[in-house]
Amino acid sequence: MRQTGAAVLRVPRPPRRLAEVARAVAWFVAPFVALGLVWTAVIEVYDVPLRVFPAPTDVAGALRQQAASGALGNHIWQSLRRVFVGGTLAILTSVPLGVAVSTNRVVAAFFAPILRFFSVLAGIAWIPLATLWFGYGFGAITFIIFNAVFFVVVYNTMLGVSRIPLALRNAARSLGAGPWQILTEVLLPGALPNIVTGIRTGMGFAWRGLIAAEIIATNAGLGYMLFLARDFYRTEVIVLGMILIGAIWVALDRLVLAPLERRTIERWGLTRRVT
Amino acid sequence: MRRKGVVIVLTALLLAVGAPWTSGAPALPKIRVGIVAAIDQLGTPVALDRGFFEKWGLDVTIATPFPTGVDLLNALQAGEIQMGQVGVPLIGAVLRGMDLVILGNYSGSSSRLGGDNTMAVVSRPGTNITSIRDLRGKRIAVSFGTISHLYILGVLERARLSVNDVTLVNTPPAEMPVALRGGAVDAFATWDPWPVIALREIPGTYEVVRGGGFIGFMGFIVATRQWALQNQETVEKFLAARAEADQFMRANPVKTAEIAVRWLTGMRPEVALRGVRNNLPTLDIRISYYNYLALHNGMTTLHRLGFLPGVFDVNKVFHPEPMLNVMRRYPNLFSDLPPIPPSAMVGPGYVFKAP
Repeated sequence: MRQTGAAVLRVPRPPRRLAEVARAVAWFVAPFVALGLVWTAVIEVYDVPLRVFPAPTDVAGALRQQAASGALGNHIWQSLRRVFVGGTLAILTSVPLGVAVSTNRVVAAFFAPILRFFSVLAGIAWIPLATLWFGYGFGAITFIIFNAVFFVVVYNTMLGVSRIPLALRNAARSLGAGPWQILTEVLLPGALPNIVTGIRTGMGFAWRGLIAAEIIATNAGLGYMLFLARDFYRTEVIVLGMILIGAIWVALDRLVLAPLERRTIERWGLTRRVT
Repeated sequence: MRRKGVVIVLTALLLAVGAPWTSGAPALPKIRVGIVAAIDQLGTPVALDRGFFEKWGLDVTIATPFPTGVDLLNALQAGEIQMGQVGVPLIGAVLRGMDLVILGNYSGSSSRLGGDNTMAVVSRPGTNITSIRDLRGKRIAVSFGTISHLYILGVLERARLSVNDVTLVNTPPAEMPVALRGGAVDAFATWDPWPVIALREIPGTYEVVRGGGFIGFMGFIVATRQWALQNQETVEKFLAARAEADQFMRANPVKTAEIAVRWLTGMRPEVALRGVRNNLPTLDIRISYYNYLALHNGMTTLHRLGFLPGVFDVNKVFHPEPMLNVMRRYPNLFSDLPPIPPSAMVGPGYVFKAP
């Protein structure tokens, strides 16, 4: 019962050489380097005041200052902690619900539009109600992240389960698989590629929702740091916050979520690495 | 034929000299002014509504109220407005090179270090907060980096409490009544109308303290230095019209509240009236030593707390000459205000020295 997936398209994937990795890294970094050069040149040529936009050296100075004071580490830690707690809670509750709902096709068809509707109501839309229900701070922000992830993962789980061919389930049953085996060896593995895609999408929503929520409902976090700097025209801190928000998301996505999605699809989806 | 000729001659004459009802009077100087949607910013709308600007020879329009002082200053920098009313955000803008001048106060006091009557600390039943000393160990909502933050620091200092004795929760002013009602905080400190709204909307809510002179309030009428120096006469007319509006408001809170309801969308009349009454003691457009001191104190506190990257000499932003001219020429506009103590009077060439 370990073999699942409708079809297996074997994609050769030889081990990557160091040169290839270096080339990939260079292609990834090059646009940012170019952006930095254009940024530096524009600031120099047009003598842009710090109030309007900072030079890279100003941002580096803000980074040093924020890091030395310990504020930066606290902001990053608070943001990541909220995403981790809210995201984990959402995944732990949404996957079982998605599977439970989708085991009955009628129920799944009934819930699909509702879940689709809520999945696009990204976290930001929940902020007024979250602060009303949970007050200001960890509870409200965790709720917003939970919402951003929960509905997307439920919907994707349902989608994944519904795509498992009925013949596969019937075959498992005819081979004597009980409900637990059907769940753990057919439904969950079969839906996993969709679940992981949902998690990746949901975490993207969560990250955006987090920044928006931190602007309103907390005393710490990258969103808070960015918004507070606006009140005092500290553009170097604003740009530092923007860079960190983008960089942390790219790191999370490329180092954790994308490999997870790729390996899940390779393991359980329609493609498989040749060993 | 003869009648037709007379008509042609008269028409030609009229065209030659210009029709008196269309172009005889010189056009009034036009300026566009920015305000933030708050009850203590009503002076400019009242001056427009009551025709004081027109009376003083100005054609003033008011931009749609800005959500924050930062947005207002951005509009000023972009030339969308020529004058504006702003508080704490002015400090960051000046520190970052914006060449602004302070021409008067939209809210504050020139007769003492105070003028914070538009601020209040509000609590709810069950918190056991009956005086500012009871704030120890409580959660208090304030907006970090704003005058509400400075206000609570002043309150705590007077109560002989330190920042570590309480938990300050950063909260936008509009969200404070919600936070108080939901139990997320034990009290909040901010400006009207939010305290008044909380008193009205949340049963049992009460003001722990209103105003109190804990800080020197900062609410300034500003312009860019270049524009102010090039339009000295227009600035003086504006300040005179605003001073007359302040005097009108001090004498007519009910009519002022009616104007407030028209300008501050969604505000209930009773909330507006109470807010206006709270704000009456702060309607002092004059400039004195106390306004310099308020800016100096506020700025150094924010710098000490790490919100500001530096400080500046407040002498460089105050441009009191137009206001002093108005005070000298039209003393009746200020006859109902407490006199400025001689030691706090400023004159041409005045230089503030920090205590």
